[in-house]
Amino acid sequence: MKSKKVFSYLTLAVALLLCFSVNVYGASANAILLATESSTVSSAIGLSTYSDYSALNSKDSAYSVYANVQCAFPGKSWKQVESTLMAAPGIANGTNYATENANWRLELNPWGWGFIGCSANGIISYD
Amino acid sequence: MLEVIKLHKSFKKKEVLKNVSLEFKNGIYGLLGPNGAGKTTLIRCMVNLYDLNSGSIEYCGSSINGNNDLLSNIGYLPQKFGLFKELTVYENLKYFCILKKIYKSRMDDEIKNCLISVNLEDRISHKVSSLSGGMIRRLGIAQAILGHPKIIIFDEPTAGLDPEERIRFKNIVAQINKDRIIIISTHIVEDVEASCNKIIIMNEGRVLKYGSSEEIKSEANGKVYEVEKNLNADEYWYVEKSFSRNEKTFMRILSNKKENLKSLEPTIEDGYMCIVKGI
Amino acid sequence: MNGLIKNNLKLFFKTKYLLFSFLLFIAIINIFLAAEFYNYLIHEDILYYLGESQRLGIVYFVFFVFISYEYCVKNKNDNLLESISVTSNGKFFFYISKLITLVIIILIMTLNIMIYNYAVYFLKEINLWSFVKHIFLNNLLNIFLVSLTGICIGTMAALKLKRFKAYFLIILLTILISPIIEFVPYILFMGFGINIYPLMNILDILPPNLNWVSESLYGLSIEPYRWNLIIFWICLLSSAILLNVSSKKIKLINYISYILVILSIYNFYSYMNSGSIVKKDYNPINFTAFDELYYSNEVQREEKANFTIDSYDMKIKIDRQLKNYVTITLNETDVLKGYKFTLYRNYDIKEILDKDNNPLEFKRHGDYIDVYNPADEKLETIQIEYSGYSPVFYSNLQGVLLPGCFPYYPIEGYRRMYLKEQSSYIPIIRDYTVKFNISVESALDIYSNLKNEGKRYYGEAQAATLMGGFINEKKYEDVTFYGLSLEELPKENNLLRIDEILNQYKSVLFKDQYTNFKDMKIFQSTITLSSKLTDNGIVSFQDHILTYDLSEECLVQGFAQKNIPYDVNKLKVKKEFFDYILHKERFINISKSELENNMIYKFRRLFLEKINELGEDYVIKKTYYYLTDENDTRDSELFIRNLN
Repeated sequence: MKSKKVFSYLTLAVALLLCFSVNVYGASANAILLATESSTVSSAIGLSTYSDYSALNSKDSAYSVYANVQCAFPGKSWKQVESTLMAAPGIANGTNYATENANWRLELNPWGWGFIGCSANGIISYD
Repeated sequence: MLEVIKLHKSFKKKEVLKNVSLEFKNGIYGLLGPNGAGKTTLIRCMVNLYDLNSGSIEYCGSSINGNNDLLSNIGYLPQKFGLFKELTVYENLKYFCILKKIYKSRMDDEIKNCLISVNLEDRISHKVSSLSGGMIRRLGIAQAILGHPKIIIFDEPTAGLDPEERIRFKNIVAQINKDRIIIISTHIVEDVEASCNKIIIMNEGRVLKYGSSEEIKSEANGKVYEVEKNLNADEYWYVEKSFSRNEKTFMRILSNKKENLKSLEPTIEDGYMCIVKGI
Repeated sequence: MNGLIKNNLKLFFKTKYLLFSFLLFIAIINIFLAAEFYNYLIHEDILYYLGESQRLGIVYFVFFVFISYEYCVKNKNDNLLESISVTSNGKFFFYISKLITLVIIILIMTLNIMIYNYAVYFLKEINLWSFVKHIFLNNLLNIFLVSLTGICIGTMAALKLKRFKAYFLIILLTILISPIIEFVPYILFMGFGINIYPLMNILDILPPNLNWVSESLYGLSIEPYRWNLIIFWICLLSSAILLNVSSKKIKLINYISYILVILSIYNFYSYMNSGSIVKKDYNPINFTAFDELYYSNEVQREEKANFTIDSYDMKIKIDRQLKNYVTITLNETDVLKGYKFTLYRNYDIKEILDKDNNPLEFKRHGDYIDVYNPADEKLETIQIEYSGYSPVFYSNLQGVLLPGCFPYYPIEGYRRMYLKEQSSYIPIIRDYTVKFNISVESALDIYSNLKNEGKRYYGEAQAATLMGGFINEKKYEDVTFYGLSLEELPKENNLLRIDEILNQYKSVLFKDQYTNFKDMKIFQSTITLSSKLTDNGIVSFQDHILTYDLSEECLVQGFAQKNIPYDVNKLKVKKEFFDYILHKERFINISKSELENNMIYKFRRLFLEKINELGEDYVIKKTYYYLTDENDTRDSELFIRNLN
């Protein structure tokens, strides 16, 4: 019984540590896709119940670009919240919400292997 | 009575059995022939493992092909035989009892009797993996005789066995011989010599001879000679073997020409070689 | 057979490497499930837990392909098969009993997952029978049937292939079935315009969308097409197994094999006609890209109708997709030669009839329909029969998401329905009310803004919203709330103090138009609506609103938008306006460098400049008038630049 308690405290401590460790990121993060890159993902912005994002695929891009907003609850894997195909040129923006505090990030051009020649950028943030 | 009637079997373009016709009544039959003669193919046709190209196999007037009732009357020990190594002797035989649809109430007695027949009753609870090659072969015989089949077919049953196990096999066959057809396929002549009532000699997909051991032997009457090895060999001679006696080397030869040489009493092996080699 | 199965089970558990693999498998599965269970205790997201547990489908598949191959090939190598094959139907019983043994093991392992899922269900205390069924069906489809496909493949490989080839096939199939292969069709399509998705999808037996935040209204994907696909494979493979293990002369088994082949063909046909599905991959016909690709071309038009609609009489049937037989009563002032309608383009029109059931000629171009009047008198009534689906606004046996702002029934005039600059759908809301009389045939309980009597929905409204799935009705005093059953509401229920909240914004947002909001129905938006509709899925009608959240901000925007006519040209201003009022701190806290350098904040910068220059009260007041004034047709940029 005692060891069970110790175990649950330990796990809780690890979970909390994880929460705090993602909190050290800033409240906004940029994802910049250069023409010489194939795909990019922003850094995580920390815990929030929502995030604003905006992304822009430039008119010089060779292809359309997907902008994916992803969130992860502490200790859990990243999940896609929204995926928008931006034409060249094209924009995508919006606010996404989670049922509880989650970490957020923005990904441009997933599976982008071989898609060099796109210029796009995006920002994901919360206040 | 088991009858093979004008059986043909080919694999792609290769004809393996050519117009084979045979008749089996209760008794022990030896199916002799060199490797590749078509013995195993014939047996597999008889146990319904292969479809026939033409001809038929009948048991008591009914075709054996796809006839489940008749198939349950066949016990078979294949050339390469294996068992569930992880299970015990009893569990293995029980598995076969179920496949052979032996009543549950009779299973234990049946297993016990078969194991007594093959001298493995003391191994009933042993794992198969702990048995020797000879014991596994005997266990194979036990599974073949489970359920008192009317026809039992052994394909190369003594291959790889030591002399003691071979004698044991012959004894087992002699024991289970009652009211059944037993067919023993082999290329070892001595396996069939003593125990078989009838011997069938096959080569290149054909039955060359069907008869008793005496009839087979008689095929070599006046054709077996002994000569010293330094004698110039005649092109008609077929050298069966060489042996030494009194520091001299001799050959046992077969020849269909009347030779002015020391004549010997023929054996079944001589008869078999004469038939197979066309001497 | 029982005896054989018992012995086979014994054999399975006595074979060291099979037993070891099995124990390792159990350990991995249970460690994963237990870790997720612990996570659940923190986050309490029951659908998330179910989704994570269904990820194990691929592990089950690989394990059972491997284990069935090894289990079946083992005795082939042990030279046992020949003596077994001689017994009456021996080979058949031998393999079938082995398959049944493996199925028993699958059952045990499926139950293993189910126990965790049901434990979570009971902890959640949601008391939702449909979710109990959902858990069962998910496990049946994603775990049991996926594993069964695995054993069919493994057995077939054992029967037909040598070890090297078999392992090569197993590895190849695992790669083709698993999500890691997704990049191949993506690259081919995005880079070269080659669409191999239909080909790849034939092997897509694993649950889709698991990398997405789950759609709480819909649950996880268990649409009929997935059952069809997996049953197709199982029937096909099992008929091949039967033909391989039985003698050709056993007629019954031959018949069973033929029946299985016929079943597999039928299921493949049904799979090809999948109807409405929710699949969030990059396939150009699915959720993410279907409309984006279509509307990226200049295909949209905006044209007012020269008639209005008095009423809709709809007979809706929702099974694999939506079927509708709608009778529209028109209000025409003059005799018209043509009638313009908007209906989402993926609904195929079967026929259009006049009031006397005479066919009317019509022309379809994308979302737009022109119906021609052959006579010199008013048509008065038009009957339209159509069926189809939208990959986003789904309507099938599993869920119904048909917001009234989406033209799933014909709307008068040509309307823009997609804003390609923002990759989102524009709510289409008419400015008057019409009478609705709708009968809905569906396996689900459907909730609507309209009054409801059994399967009939009726009343006068701007639009008819239909939602079904994991949704239920709750009453908070006078407010009716249709909430997602699997999502928990915040502890502080803002609906109970809605008047108090709205009063705070009365001077800015409601003014003279403040009415009693308690008669309105509130629908909780799903993630699809919040991510795919403009205004983050907050849609306001006179009689109901759609909102993803019951936070103060969402409710205020939801109620306030009621008085703001929907105008695409004003969207940018509207966004900044509401963001400023409702999320002021967030709005002004953007770093200076971001604001100045990031193109994304270009419009926000302009808006803030005006506030700093002209004062907050003035800008807000002017903006509100601009937004509510239908006659002001300036676009957002022009308005903000002209503001002085």
